[in-house]
Amino acid sequence: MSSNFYLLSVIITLPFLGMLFVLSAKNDEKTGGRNVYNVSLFTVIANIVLILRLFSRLDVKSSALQLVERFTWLENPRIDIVLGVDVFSALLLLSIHIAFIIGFIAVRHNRIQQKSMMVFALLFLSQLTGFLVAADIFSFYIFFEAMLFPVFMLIGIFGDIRRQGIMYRFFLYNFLGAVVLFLATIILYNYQNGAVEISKVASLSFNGKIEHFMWASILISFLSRIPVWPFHFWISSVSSSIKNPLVFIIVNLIPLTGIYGLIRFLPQTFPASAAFYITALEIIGVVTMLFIALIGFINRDTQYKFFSYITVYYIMYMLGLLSKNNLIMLNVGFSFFSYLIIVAGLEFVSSYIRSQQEKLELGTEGLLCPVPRLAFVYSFLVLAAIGLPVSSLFLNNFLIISSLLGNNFSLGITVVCALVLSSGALLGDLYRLKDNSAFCPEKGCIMDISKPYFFFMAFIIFVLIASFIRPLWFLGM
Amino acid sequence: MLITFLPEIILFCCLPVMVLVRIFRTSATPKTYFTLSKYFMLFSVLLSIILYNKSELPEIYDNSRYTTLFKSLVFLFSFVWFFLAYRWFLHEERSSFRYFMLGICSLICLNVIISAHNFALLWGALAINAVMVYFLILRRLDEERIFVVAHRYAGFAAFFLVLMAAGMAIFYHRLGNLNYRDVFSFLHQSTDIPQLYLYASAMILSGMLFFMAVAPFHFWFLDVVRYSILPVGGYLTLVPGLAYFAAFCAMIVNVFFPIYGHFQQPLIIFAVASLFLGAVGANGEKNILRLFAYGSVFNIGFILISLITFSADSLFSSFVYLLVYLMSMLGIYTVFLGFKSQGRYVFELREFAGIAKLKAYLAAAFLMFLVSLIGSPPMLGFLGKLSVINNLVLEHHFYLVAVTLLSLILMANAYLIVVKTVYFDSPIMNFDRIDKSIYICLTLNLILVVISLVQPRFLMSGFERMPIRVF
Repeated sequence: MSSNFYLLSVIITLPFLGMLFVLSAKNDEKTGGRNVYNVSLFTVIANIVLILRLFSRLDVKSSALQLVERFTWLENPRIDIVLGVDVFSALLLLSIHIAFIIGFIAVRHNRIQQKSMMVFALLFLSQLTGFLVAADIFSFYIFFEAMLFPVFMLIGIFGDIRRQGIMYRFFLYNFLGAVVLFLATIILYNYQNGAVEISKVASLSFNGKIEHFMWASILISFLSRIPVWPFHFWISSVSSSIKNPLVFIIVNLIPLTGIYGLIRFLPQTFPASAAFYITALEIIGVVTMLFIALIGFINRDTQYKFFSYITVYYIMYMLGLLSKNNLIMLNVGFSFFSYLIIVAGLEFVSSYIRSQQEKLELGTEGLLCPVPRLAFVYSFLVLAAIGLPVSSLFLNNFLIISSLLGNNFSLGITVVCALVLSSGALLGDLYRLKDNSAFCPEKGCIMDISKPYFFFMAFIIFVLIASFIRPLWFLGM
Repeated sequence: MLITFLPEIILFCCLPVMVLVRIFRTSATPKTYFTLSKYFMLFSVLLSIILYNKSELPEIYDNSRYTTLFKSLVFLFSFVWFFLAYRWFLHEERSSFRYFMLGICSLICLNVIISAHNFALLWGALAINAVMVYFLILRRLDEERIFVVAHRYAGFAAFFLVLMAAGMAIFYHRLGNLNYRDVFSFLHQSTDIPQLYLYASAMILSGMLFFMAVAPFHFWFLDVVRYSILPVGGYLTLVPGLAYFAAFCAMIVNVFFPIYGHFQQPLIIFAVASLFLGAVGANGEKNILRLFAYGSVFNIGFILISLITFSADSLFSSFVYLLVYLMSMLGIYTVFLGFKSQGRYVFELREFAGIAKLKAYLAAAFLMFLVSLIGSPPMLGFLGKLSVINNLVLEHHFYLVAVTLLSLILMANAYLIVVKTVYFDSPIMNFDRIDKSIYICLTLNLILVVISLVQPRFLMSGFERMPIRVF
């Protein structure tokens, strides 16, 4: 590849082209959706190869945006689309693609609306990739809003009987957030007399009301994606209504966009006027966290426990970011890498268990006893998820909690309580599934995962362990 | 003088030719009339472009880049819609003679409306066009209510035409003629404009707002689109709006600009009323044609709110929005032509249930145009929304930005109800085979949308200079 090769544009475009191929692929009973599935899987794998190529061209020691591509999109008003990437966004790109692969493998035998699922999944992946490499406010906003549409369609197609209400809730919260960000983008654009690069937003200074309005808009738009009260209704409804693992993974990537936005936009030093809002946000965040962790602990539904776990962690990241600790900011990228893969892996395994359980009409107790491969994978992922030293999540939990305890002890303790509760929920679930005393072979056993699946998951486990030992292991660093 | 009106004269020549064809050709089909219209329209638009600055009567009839741009667009949208209308008549096995005759007459009037720089000429063209629209509405034969709708339209059109005429008479009484330039000079030179002339101006403008279907003058539009045949509803949605927009802008800028401050607040109120009436009305609507008619009222409000300051930027942004909106609506109406069950076109929202499962490509195109109308990126509608909101922010109309975006959310909800019905509900009926021409038109429209999206310069290049010409 030549030095002027538009690698980032290609990484965004490839899933979109894959989507077009999927649209033209046959999805009849004869092929059983194989064409659609293979094209989608191949697209994501091809993109992973490109992302690895991207890593080889990155200066990982630099925090600046690299491989910058610039296109003039509009003359009047003058809008340039600027793309760029740093190690943080590149790591997110890689983990998201791996999460997609896990999601695809989880829906390997799905026969319901396979084509629609793959079309919208690839469309979402293309837009999420664009969002993560957007380097100016306009392209950031465009991808921020554009990714809502495929998710809306996926919820509509794969939601349960309550989907109608859930879709509107999803639309109302997220579209409102996008509209607010649109307004902030336009004001920023005009305030600066031209396109503003995201990296410069944090250092911009405004005057009076504009400052209040700008930061309020930006915060609201990102919070609408993070499951913090009163913005959490949509995601809790969606997560409990979606049974399709790929769609569940996609829906739970939406809060990531809010966290990523906060990381990119938050000012290096908060204006004095924002202090009250930050404190209020911390209180709301921690109360939501504790409340959802408690519900997750009490609830027996595994899907809800996952949602509770995901929410608690997203809020913890948000609180960590608000503490403005540079070490945490750096670590969040490495942590997200493991976190997204763990969430996708857990959803893959649990959806497999759920489908087997429903097929054989079994209870959950002792279900994993006769299936060693599945039990190993599930146990490892749960242990990694709760922050034991088997993935880069361990370091992140350690850093965030120590930072929060140092800054505000009561806040830190509450966060620890929420983490303990959500970890307890996952461990409780694992204990129930592996409870030998409740295992009754006469009732029947679920099938273990096949060897190819096991080797695939073993590879994922290897990636997680490697990320714990050396976060940038694949670069030899 | 001849050269000034040559494009209109050429178009006029189409009428006797059509009559002769009707009399002497025994097998005159919709295709015959469409072909005739096509060639005359093509010739007329070519002449409009060649003679773009030839006007021997500049005081009453202006030929400029501005008018040529709008005339070309009127011809372009008419051409596409006439093509689809001819397919409709072919499938319905109905005579299209009157439709094309009235359509061509209406096009001549719209050309005159765009170029008119004299109130009498404008009024005449508006009046004749209203008559043409009246007869076009009556083309529906199987609906008794159509007479009520047509007569109501005629009644209100006559009322507003009389109102306009009264306003014009007041100016005529004072100036002795109705040329834009003279009225402008009078309003510009007077330091203290008597109330009478303000009322006269309001009367004229209210007539224009009626024809543009701006709330609260929009009531005729909803029923006309709902009850008239699809080729007429589509024509009234897509074509006259361009001419009225051009005439309205030219009138404000060239005549009423000195007293525009008096009308700014009422126009803001009308624009906001259009936004909310359109959005709220669409949310409660079960008939798809009326739903999109409400959508048109909403979009007119959006355009008007962008026009509020009548600066070069506001004119350009509203024009971009209008163009993007019309492209989307053309796509939507093309899709309507494909939704046919047991030989009957379906227009009730519940009948659209689950179409995506039966007509995937059509539903996908429908979805793309709906997303474009919502103004969500990456669809073309985002360009229009961006253009308008950016202009409002530039002019520091922050409260209008808030109102506009709030109404946009309401409107988006109405479109999402349609998306939900089309994609997530279970089908209740089977659909007929779709005409290939509909697929061709949709594909071309989508290609145009994609090109405009990737390279908006193709869409906007040259148009940026458009406001310079109107001032």
